[in-house]
Amino acid sequence: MVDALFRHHNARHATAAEVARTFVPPAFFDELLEPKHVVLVGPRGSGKTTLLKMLTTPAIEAWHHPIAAMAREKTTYTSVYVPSDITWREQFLAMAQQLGDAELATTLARSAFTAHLHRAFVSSVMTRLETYIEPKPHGEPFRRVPFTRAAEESLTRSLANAWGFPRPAPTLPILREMLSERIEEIYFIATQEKLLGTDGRSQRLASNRWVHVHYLHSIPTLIELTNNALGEPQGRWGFLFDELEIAPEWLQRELYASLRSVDQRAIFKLAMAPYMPFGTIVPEAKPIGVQDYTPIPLLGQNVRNTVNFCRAIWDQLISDRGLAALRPEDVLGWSRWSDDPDEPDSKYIEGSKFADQVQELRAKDSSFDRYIERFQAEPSTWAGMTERRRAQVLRKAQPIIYLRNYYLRSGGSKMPPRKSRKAHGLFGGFPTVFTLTDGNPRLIKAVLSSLIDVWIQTQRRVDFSTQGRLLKQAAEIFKSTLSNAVGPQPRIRHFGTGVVPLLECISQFFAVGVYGPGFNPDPRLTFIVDENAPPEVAKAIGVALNLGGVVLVGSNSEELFGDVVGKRFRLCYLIGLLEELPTRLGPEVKLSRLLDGSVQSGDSQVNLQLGLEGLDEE
Amino acid sequence: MRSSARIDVANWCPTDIPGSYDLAIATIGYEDRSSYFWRTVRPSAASSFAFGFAEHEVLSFEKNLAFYNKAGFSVDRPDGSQYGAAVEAALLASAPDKDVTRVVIDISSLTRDRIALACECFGEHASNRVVEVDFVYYLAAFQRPGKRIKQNAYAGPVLPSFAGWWRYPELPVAAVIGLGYEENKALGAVELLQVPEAIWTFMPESTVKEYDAELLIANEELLKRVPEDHRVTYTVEDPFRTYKGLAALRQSISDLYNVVLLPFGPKIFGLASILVGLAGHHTAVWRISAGIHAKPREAYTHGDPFGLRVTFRSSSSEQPWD
Repeated sequence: MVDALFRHHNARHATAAEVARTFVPPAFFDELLEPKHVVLVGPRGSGKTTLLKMLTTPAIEAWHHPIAAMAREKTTYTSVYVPSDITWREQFLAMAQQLGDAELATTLARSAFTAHLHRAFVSSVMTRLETYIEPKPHGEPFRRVPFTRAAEESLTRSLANAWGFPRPAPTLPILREMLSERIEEIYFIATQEKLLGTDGRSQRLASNRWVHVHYLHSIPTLIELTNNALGEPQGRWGFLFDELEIAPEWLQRELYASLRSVDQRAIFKLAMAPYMPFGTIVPEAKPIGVQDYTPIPLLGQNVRNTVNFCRAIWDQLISDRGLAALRPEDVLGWSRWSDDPDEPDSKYIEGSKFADQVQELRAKDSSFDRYIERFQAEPSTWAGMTERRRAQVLRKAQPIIYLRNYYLRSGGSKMPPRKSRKAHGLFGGFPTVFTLTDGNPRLIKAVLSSLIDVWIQTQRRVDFSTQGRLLKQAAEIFKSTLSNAVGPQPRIRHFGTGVVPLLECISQFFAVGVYGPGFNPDPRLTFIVDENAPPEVAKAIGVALNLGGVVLVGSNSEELFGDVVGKRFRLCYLIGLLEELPTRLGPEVKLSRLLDGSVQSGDSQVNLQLGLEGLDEE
Repeated sequence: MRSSARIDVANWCPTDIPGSYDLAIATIGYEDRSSYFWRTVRPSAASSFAFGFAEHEVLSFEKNLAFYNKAGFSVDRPDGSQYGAAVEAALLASAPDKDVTRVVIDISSLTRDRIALACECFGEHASNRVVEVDFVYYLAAFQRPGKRIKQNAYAGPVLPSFAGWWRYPELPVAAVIGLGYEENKALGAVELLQVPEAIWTFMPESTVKEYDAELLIANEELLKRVPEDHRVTYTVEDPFRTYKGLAALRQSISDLYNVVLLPFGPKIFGLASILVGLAGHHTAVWRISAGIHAKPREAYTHGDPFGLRVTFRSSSSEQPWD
């Protein structure tokens, strides 16, 4: 069942071969492969780690896929995967607190990170050398280099010397271990400095030359020395910095600013969450999206990309279970408000299923009846409607019509959610199930796996009620992970304190627009974090953004990450599902006004929102 | 940057109470149980201190405060990290001419960060003279947990000195979790640390049987991820055994993982974790807290007190057989 939601699919500590085995390339994968600086932006679970690990030599070797050969051809560099970890960010912060000297703490933390980067570099060099690779890999040998012991010793000697080691290292693994000793040494230097205090500190630190080696400044030298040893003078190296959102702020800033680097042999690919309020960078040091790097957002892709990506994962899940090709349409059916191919071009004619929906809703919802009358949009008139008018009056309103008809009782009040079997039944089918995942691989795999497993057990199409129930179960689990997240604690009226009450408040506001007393064909479904939103609320939105609870809408590449103020968001569709919200965008509302209750989502603003003012009411 | 003191640990029970302690450290909490030991067992001590929190002065707080004042305790309400300084001052003032300072401290109503601060003080003090500390703990009588999940405000080392330091930063993190009955709190910690598989849980078992079912409910989602052979049940009333088990587990997995201890549940497990953390800087001890939004709840004692006797010695005072 969906309890597997947060159990699987974390690529963090998976081997490259494990990652390659289940990797499904998204639409932008070839852009990522390009030997250019890239910033990958996505929340937890959006596949950043998988994507970066797929650029490493062992993963590319192990990958079997129709486009694997193209990927090998494009990967003209050796990747160095550099993970982050929330525990060592805390260790760096703790060091600063204990030393009471922020500058010293940053110097020591940077030195530790330099050793960490050098360890990752040594490991990457080893993935190229035949000495250290299985002779018969499962995949396609890729950029392997024969290397003699003498050549290795020569390389390790020069690297050890460049990194300030007093003695040479005979092999790369020994050099890597010496770097670990150095990380350990930093802890003892910090302990010593805490005990000795500031007297004579500069002299003591000056005597340790290696403490001052900056990871960024060390890169050209290590590339030069290694390229010479490998006989690849122009060899390029891709430094893949993962999960920067949990790295210390100084590291985030330095790496981001380094995207202006012009050393052609060093390519930086940074993976980060969208909420990264790492302070301002002076304009002359600030990289410019597209010009200095390629920004790639992992969520908020267009629906077609999301559906295609889900379909590719679907095919792989089917194949993993040893099943014959099986289309999602066959297992899930078509969603009720999709363009069902069984009903081609016939939605907007009198007597169609959609026309039945309209007539049913008119009978129980007087506000909708007035809407139809106002725009003279009775099904009997549809045949004579212009395309423009049909789009504005009917097509845009279509999901709202389906939802209201499904969830409103006679008399217009909404039936209690999640209490009846019916309450689960509208959110199902293809492609709605795909859309609801927002293209988040973690959610896609968990939700689709559960649905396929139901199909395997029953050997028949999974009914909408079961689909809806599983999706809502996934949504509840997702919500509970948001509840347990560490974050600010704004008090949100009667909803409570924290991130989840904030999202619940927003959801309910939107739900009133969709299901409230006045029919609104285009209710508000997005919000802007305006300047008047309390800072704690803005931070809580940032936390939700990094966990995938809200999704950035329509921003340009410069706005993909950073602070949240001034940006427009929607709820992730799975969270919206808990209030039966439609999977689409809508007009925005200022968050501060939503929270203080000064704007009502059920306000009748049909003309303003739809742009119908130019249409005659006929 | 942790205290380098060496510690010896043994179980403690009320029959181990000496004729007189050099120093008694009590807590002025909002729980009835925070003064119970001092009201009922009344151990003798040359000097007695009672420290409050400067917040959440509700429920049984006034009653406890009145008791300590009447019983002649030196009363103070240090905030945050000032607690460490207060314990240190109390230690310095007590038995300056003795080789061994005997201390008794009730941790039943003490927060985990204060337990860690106290241990740090005892460890640092041990560089001058041996400190023998009786850590006293009372189980709380059962109460149903609150229903609403509270947003966590803090997740990180219990104190900066317990942040740990990884020699191999790329190793996966292992979470060793003492289970408590706050719904999904441990799951949230595991999510935060992104621990996919390397999870070990310590499930408390005590004479208060009502906790058992609540623990399973609160940790249902987490336990689905934990294989049977990673689930340890411990007897709350036998903290020495818990301490040894925890230390042995840490030792056995530390070559493969960077170990983070997450002591939810009874404070005595928190103490055991902190003592394991004291033993080496390659282990982190974290706490997760709802901060000021944690709602105070009354707690009464259940049964007799138990605890640990911990002797802190200077690391240079190694015995010949060590």
